[in-house]
Amino acid sequence: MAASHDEQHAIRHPSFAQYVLIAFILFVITIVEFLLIWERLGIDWESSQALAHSKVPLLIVLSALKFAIVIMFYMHLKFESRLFTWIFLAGLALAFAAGIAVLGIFASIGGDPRTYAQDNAVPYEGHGSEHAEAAEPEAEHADERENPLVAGPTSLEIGSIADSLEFNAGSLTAAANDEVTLTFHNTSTVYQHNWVLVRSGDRESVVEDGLAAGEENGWVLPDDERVLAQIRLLGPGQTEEVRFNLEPGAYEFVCTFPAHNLTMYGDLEATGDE
Amino acid sequence: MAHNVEPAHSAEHEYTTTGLNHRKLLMWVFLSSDCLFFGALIATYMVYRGQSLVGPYPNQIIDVPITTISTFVLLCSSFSMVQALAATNRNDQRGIQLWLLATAILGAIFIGFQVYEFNLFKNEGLTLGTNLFGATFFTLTGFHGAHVTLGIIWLLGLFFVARKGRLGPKTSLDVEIAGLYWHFVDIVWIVIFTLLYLVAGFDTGPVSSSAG
Repeated sequence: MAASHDEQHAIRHPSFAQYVLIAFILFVITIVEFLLIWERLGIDWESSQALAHSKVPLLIVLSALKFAIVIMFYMHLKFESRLFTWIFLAGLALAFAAGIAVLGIFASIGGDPRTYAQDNAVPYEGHGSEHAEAAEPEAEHADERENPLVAGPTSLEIGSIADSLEFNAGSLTAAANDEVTLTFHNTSTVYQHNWVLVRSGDRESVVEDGLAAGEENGWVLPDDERVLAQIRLLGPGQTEEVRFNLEPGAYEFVCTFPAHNLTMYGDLEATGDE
Repeated sequence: MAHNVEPAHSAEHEYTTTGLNHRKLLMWVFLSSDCLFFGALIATYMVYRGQSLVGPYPNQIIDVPITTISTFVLLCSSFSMVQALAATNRNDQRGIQLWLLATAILGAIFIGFQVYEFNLFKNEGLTLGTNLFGATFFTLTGFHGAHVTLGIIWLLGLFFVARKGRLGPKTSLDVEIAGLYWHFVDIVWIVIFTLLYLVAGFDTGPVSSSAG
C-alpha cells in the first residue's frame, strides 16, 4: 500500500498478511495465558516450589510480550521516530517506578494492611453510644480491644446509674479462659436490678423467657442454659459478685427486670489466648 | 523514516520544530501521561490486593473464561483498527467505513461484557463501597471502560466523516491518531486482564490468605 501512494512516504507499515499474523500471535499468547490458569486443564501450581514461583512471572512476561507487539506493530513505534518511543517509555517507566514505590511504602510501614485494619478497626458501638456515661470505662478497655490476643482483666465492676435505668458501662472486656470476678452494685434508691450474662445474640430471647418466668423466678427462666452467669435481683443499694470463666468471644449482659431490659444492657468481650 | 523532514501528511499548513508531526507527538505525550494515570490505579489495586475484610472476594465472583472472551473481542478490535488505517492509506472508501464501524462495534461488545460483569457483581453484593477489592476494582476497570467508551464515540465520529468521503490518504493522520488511542486502551486492558484476572482473580478471603 505504501508503494501506491508516494505521499505516504517511506514509512512501511506491515502488510495485511503481516497484520493477520500479528493478530494470530496475540490470540495464541492470550490462549496460552488462559490455559495456564484454567482449573480444568489442572496445572497444579502449588505442586512444587519452582512452579509456584514461576506462575506470576510467566503471566507477566507473556502479557509484556503482547504489550510490546501491540505498541511496536499496531502503534507503529517500530517504524516511527525514536522520539515517540522514548516519550512513551518515559511515561511507562515513571508509572512503573511510582507503582513500585507505592507498593514498597505500604510494605515497609505497618506490614500487612489487613492486620493493620483489623487492629485499628473502630468497633461498632451501636446501642452502646446511647450510654453516654459508658465512655469512661470504654476508654479504659480500648487498649485490650485493639489486640484480641491481650487478655482482658479478671476483675470487673459494674453498677446501675442511680435511678436511671442504665448500666454505667455499655461495654466490658474480660479475660477469656480465666476466672473472672464481677461485682455489681445496685446504686438505685428505688429499683430492683439483676445482671445476666448471655452469648451475643441470645439477649432478646432470654429476656422474653425471663418475663414469662415471672417475678417468683427473679425474671430469669430457672436453669436456662443460655444464661452463662447471673447476679440475682438486688434491692436498692445492694452489692453482690459472681465468678465465671468464658471462652473468647462476644457476650451481652442485661437486666431482665420488665422494661429495664429495653435500656439496661451492654456488650462484654472475652479476650485472650484461644 | 528519518529523512521525513516534511510532515508526512497533506502538509503545506503544518509546521514542525521536531521533524515530527505535532498532532502525533501530542498524542504520544498524552498516552505517556495516561500510563501514569492507569499506573496509579493499578498500583492502588495491587497495594490493597487481598486486604478486604469482608466479601465478596475475587475468587467468589471473578469469571476468567468470560473475560478471556471479552479480551479477544478487544484484540480483534485492534486488528480491525489497523485495517481501517490501511484502508485509509489506500483510499478504499468502503474499507474505511467497514473497518471503522467494525472497530466501534467490537468496542461496544467489550463494553457490553463489562456492563454485564458489573451488573453481576452488583447482584452478588460487590459495589464500589463494599470493600477494598470493590473500590479498587471498579475504579480501575471503570476508568478503563470510560476510555473505551470515549474511543467508541471517537470512532463513530470518524465513521460519519468517512461516510461523507472525507477520509483518505491525505487525512489518514486523523485515523492514525484515533488508532493510537484505541491501541493504547487495548494494551492497558492487556495489563489489567493479566493482573486483575489471571494473577489476582483467584484471591481468597482473609482465612486462606493468612496461611500463605
